[in-house]
Amino acid sequence: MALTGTTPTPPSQTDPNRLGCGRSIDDVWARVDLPPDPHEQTCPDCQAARHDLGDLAAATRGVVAADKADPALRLNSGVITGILEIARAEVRRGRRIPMDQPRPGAARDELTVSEQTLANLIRRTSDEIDGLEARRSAVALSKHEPLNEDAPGPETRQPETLPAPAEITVDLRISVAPTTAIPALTHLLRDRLRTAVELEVGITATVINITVEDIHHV
Amino acid sequence: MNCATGTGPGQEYHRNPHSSVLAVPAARADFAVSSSPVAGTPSPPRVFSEATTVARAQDGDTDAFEQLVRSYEADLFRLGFRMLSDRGEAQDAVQDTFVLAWRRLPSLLDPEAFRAWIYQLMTRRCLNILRVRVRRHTGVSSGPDFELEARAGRPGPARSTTDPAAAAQTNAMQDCLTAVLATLPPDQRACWVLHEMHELTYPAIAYAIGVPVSTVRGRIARARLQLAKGMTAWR
Repeated sequence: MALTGTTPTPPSQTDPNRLGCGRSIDDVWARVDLPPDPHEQTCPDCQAARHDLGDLAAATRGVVAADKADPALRLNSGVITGILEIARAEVRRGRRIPMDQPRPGAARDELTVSEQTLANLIRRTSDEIDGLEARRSAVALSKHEPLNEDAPGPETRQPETLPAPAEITVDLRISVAPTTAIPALTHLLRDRLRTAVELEVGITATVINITVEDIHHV
Repeated sequence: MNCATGTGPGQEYHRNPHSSVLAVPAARADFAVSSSPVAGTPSPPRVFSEATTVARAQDGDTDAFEQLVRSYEADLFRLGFRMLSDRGEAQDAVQDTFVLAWRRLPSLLDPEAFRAWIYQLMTRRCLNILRVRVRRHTGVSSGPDFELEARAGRPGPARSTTDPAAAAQTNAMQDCLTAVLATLPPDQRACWVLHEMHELTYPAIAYAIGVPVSTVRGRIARARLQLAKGMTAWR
């Protein structure tokens, strides 16, 4: 077996990765697809190791190529469908966002929209704009100045008035193409998102924070 | 940085600050995700970078997750087959890995590390299966107790040589490698397969298996030696 060395005594019992000539098998392996260097042209240890490792490298390439071309090593569509059905069944809907701005003293609103629905809307709207990729997003009810509960006067407590649309804050992380003019892009994106949230859900996006976290090449 | 509406004069941008050693060069950067159905005619599918696709899947976008499944299923299946030497078990392992990935995706901190991360889930799944297999057959044999699936007669690119003798030699060498590979200890086999058949870096393999890089290097060297010896013995 050439890899143990052709010299009469193996160089080292403790380091099986070193040939009789002192070269490591790592080095021979790293060069196995290159022409032999001057040492390898004359060294019998290296020549034998190159031969054995060359066979191993060729067989490895062959097995990889055959595996990649083997249709039986692909998931069939039924299995993929099964995986995706589980994923859809387990979609995290997230918190429910009330569609009416909560008012002190008013009954708890029944109408809500899920974070997941809003996230889908945000992605879908963003995808209509070239030059950006929408990534993660988060929505939350906008924080308001705390109402002065002690203030007198009927105008601060009017449960009979129509409820106001909920006001939300959107945090959206995006990646942009290298040539994108970011100020114009974010202006357009905010405009589109505000309109879409208003029209499709009926709530108001008062704050839209956009974080450009990456640049992607298209 | 955040650019809140009406709060700042202008926006700045920066590169993703994540610079993990696990980040894999964006070799597979193309993902087609069907676009909005708003327009009357279906618009061409958007193509997203992998980091974007991963981020969207983390947010519960099943279309993005489907792209990841389609992008990685073949690689994971090949890994499972070489680890387990059994197509049925490999397929089950891939399925379990994707379901687990979906459940754990929100906790993945760096979307750029997805490739190393999904390989970690699959590798550990295979190693667990092999541990159970060993326990079930304790004392019987250290080697696999199933029949290796030979690929004789199945066409493949490496088998289309016109010279029948050379083709037979090539087939025999590959079958020999397959057989010797299956006799390696599972941890060694995992390191070898991930490095030589899937081109994972040493740090990515260390992350996948949960051992130091030096251990990975040693296991790959031992595996290489064993495989070369096995093939020499065959010749």
